[in-house]
Amino acid sequence: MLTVAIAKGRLLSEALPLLAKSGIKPLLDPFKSRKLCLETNQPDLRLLIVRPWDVPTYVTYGAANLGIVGKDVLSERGYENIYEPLDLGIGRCRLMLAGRVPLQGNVTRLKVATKYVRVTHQWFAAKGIQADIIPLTGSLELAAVLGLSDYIADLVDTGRTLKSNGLLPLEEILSSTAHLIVNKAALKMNYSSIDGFVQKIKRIV
Amino acid sequence: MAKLARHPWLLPEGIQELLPPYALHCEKIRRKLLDTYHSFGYELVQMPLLEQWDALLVGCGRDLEQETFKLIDPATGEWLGLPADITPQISRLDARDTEATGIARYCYCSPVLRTRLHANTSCRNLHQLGLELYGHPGIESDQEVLSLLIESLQLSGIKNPCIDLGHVGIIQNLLTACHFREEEENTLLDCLARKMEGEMKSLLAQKSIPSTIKTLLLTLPSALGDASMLAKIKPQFDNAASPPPMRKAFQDLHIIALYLEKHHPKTQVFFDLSELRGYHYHTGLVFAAYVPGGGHAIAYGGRYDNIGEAFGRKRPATGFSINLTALLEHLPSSPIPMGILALYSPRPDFLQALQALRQKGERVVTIYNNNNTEETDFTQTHCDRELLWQNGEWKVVPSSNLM
Repeated sequence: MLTVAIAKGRLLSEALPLLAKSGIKPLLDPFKSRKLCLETNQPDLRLLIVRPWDVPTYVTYGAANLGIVGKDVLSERGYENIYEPLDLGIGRCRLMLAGRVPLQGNVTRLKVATKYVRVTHQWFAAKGIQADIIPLTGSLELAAVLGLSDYIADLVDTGRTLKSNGLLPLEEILSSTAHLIVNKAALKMNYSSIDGFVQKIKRIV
Repeated sequence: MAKLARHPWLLPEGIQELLPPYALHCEKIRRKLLDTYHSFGYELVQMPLLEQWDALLVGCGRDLEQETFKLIDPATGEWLGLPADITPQISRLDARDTEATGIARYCYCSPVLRTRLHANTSCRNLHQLGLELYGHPGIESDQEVLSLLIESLQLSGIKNPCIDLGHVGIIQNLLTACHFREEEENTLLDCLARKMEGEMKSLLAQKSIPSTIKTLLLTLPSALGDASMLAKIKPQFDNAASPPPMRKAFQDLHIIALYLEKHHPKTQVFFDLSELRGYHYHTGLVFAAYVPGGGHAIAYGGRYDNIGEAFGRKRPATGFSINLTALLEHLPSSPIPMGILALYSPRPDFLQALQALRQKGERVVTIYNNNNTEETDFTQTHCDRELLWQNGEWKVVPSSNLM
């Protein structure tokens, strides 16, 4: 039995058509059912519907054999014990630096609010800018509006929320798409079934 | 006395204790495996719990530095470390005896400590059991060590393990032919370690390297499978156009595949040409053992020919270590054998009766009449029989009261 963990939300609605194209359909509608572990029309494959940040954890520990999750999550947490054989090209998003004014060349120290602490820290370090990262989990625009931080680093889709809070999208920190991830031990122990699944998906992406 | 701010029985994060019946089970496996290694000529060594910090990182610095607990010796002010892996200690031992030549075999079972809790170790204090063979550079010693790993897993009761095999010489020699800058090489290794085939393609598309090398590099992330996969890619890797050292590494891996097919036909063997674990200190064959249903490996091993260099004696070496704690998690719990309960008697022959039973291999638990302490919980004694004085002799009788 293969267990595939999928991030709920927008990514799930993009992943389901992808799975359907390769002949995999959950028996219950994941958006209507309250079940978190869904059987599929393939007797040897089930889906786990979990929060995006939990997908790599299920796969790292081997509770799920495979997972579908954004590169943003993978880059932020730096998970071990997994392979990332396939870029699925779905769940496209951008982690952007945003603020009221463009980033100045001669800046020495900044405060930046973000959920992506590690990625943002590395990005500023590569630019040689000292950045104090303020970890926040939501409504990041408020941090810049209230002066808690000079800038924010957040996932941006249309940019409307930024605009309505008087912020400008400034620079792209990370461009992310969903990746298929595989537990190392599972790949080695169940190679034929996992490779079969990977190849099926690979043919349609 | 000040009260502790936490419950006094709580252990630090990631630290485990082995309790009954697991501790006994672990000990039985330890004895069985060390006896087996002894029969192959491996000398048992017990390494110290504390060493000079830098000596513990020898040969595997980059991989072990952040994993090793560091403390200052109050007596001298020097940095000391608690071993996170036994291999550097064995290499120190082997390098010290410069008079001895030829093959040296060592085996050990020691606790090691890691600073970080990883998904693949499940705790920070591991019981590491393993062996190392020094002084032989050929694949015959790799074969001996691999066979012993498979035998160890079988003796421990692991059913259907999977042995994962790779050879870092293949990647190392392909990269040598590329002449990448260190940063470029690290990016490529990162992609390879995660089997990110697409990213590797885009990365290599920008590089001007020989097309044969490029094709071979791009084959690596999907070069996975059983021995039939090796046979399939053999013409590509083992031909006159391949870099000779890379070709030799591939040939060695192929010989190992044939050896395992012949001598361990029932063992599941998996080949992974892009396995990069221990890339910076392994020099040849690398392997790991997986268990059905397990999310991570329970044993790691391989060849590390350069490890003794820092101690002034570079010798070829190969070996493996088993994480006994992780191995136990994959075994059904082994019940403690039921024993005999004996109520203490002042009769002069009581102790002899106990001794006679113990000499026969029985577990005999003495209980004492005690007027002022708590009542004995007989279920804790794991006894199903009693020793009674009946009709002028000591008799062992089944007991319905004790279970």
